Amino acid sequence: MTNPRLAVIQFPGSNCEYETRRAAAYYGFDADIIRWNAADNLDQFDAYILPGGFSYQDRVRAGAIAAKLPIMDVVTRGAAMGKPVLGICNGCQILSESGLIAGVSLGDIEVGMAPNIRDGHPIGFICDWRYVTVSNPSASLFTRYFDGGDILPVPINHGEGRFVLNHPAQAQLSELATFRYCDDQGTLATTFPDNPNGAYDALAGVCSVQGNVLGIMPHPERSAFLKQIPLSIRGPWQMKKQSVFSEGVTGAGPWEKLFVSFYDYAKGRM
Amino acid sequence: MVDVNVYVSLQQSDLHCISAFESIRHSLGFTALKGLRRYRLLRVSVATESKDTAEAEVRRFIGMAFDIVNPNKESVTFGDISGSPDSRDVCIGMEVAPMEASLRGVSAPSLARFPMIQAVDQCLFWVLTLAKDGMDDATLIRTAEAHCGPTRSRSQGLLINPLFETVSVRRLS
Repeated sequence: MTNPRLAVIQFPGSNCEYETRRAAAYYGFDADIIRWNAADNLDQFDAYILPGGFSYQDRVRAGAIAAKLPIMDVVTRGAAMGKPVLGICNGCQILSESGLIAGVSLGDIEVGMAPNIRDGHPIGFICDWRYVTVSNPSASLFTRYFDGGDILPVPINHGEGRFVLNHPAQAQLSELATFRYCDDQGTLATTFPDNPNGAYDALAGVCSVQGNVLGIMPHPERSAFLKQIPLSIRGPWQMKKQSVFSEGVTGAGPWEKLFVSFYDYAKGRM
Repeated sequence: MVDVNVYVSLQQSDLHCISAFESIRHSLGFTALKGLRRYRLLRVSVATESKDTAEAEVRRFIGMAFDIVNPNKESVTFGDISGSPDSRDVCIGMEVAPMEASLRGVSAPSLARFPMIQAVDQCLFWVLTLAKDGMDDATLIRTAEAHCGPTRSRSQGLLINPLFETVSVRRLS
């Protein structure tokens, strides 16, 4: 029996497509990188990832131009059919500009990714590691293997990653919020630096009402392997890395459950 | 206090404009858009009651504050900008600003050297040139706002995200 086919969609300016494909392939996907202008056979894929980067140099707004491309028609159709769609960083910005998250009123833009702020002032681009905690694990197919309150270290790299929601989406936030920024003990982040961009309600990831589309600003593909955990990260994941590192053995990282859950769901639909 | 508007645009190709123009015409299908220009609009508040003094001070400020305007790649227009000279066209300006007032302020080291300059606010200013094609002006402007303005869905709007940006539209003479 074959593995589910995953399309990692490369836009002009994407820069995380290869590491995303590597992480997805490690967890079992038959993953290909598909260019933005090659939408012809895209509907034959079982799942989609919109990787990180700077599509169209973030012109006008991050994700705004890419969201209008014909290839997003195919992704939108796939999402409506229940195919899993994961948007990471710039992919999350494209999903929000496409109206695929949160999907309370289908097709409407309900989630905006605003420029980062700290104490009400712009802070520009951020590149660092932060912690997120899992909320509502059952809300999304991507998070169903996690436990609520799990703490995951993850890298962040963005200049426009501050979640803002319209009122209907805010009202449904308790069901749609899947990842929130927190400190290393799991306490929800209220201020900088734990909440790195001033996101509403410390949001780091939001799913669709149907649960098959997830937009996440941090980079799970860069924390998919144990060897990617830096020394600056404290806690059990660092201990786990140290315990095996001297033997030269590395394995699955903190975001294993997201990829496994993603794979299992896509496989189950075949 | 007198406010002076300064419009700053790139001297060479503005890639934001090229992408937005193509996207509006081809993806959103709004072919009445004939041209699109993008400016940084600086609103400089000067501590004086004289308009002439204010404008002279702002010209001096902009000419010397290289951390505000880069003379190697940007052009500057003081006062108001004009629309298209072609009577078959209508020109509108869309002023796009962050919703939070605190995000509009510009802070730059050079400000300390100009005590008369009280504050500099910044926003984007898009200039849209629209072909009339028999449509009356009011309808054309409304249609342009709907197609190019606030993004409500994938097929509607581009230049503004109404979740965190505000817009004011005005016709340019």
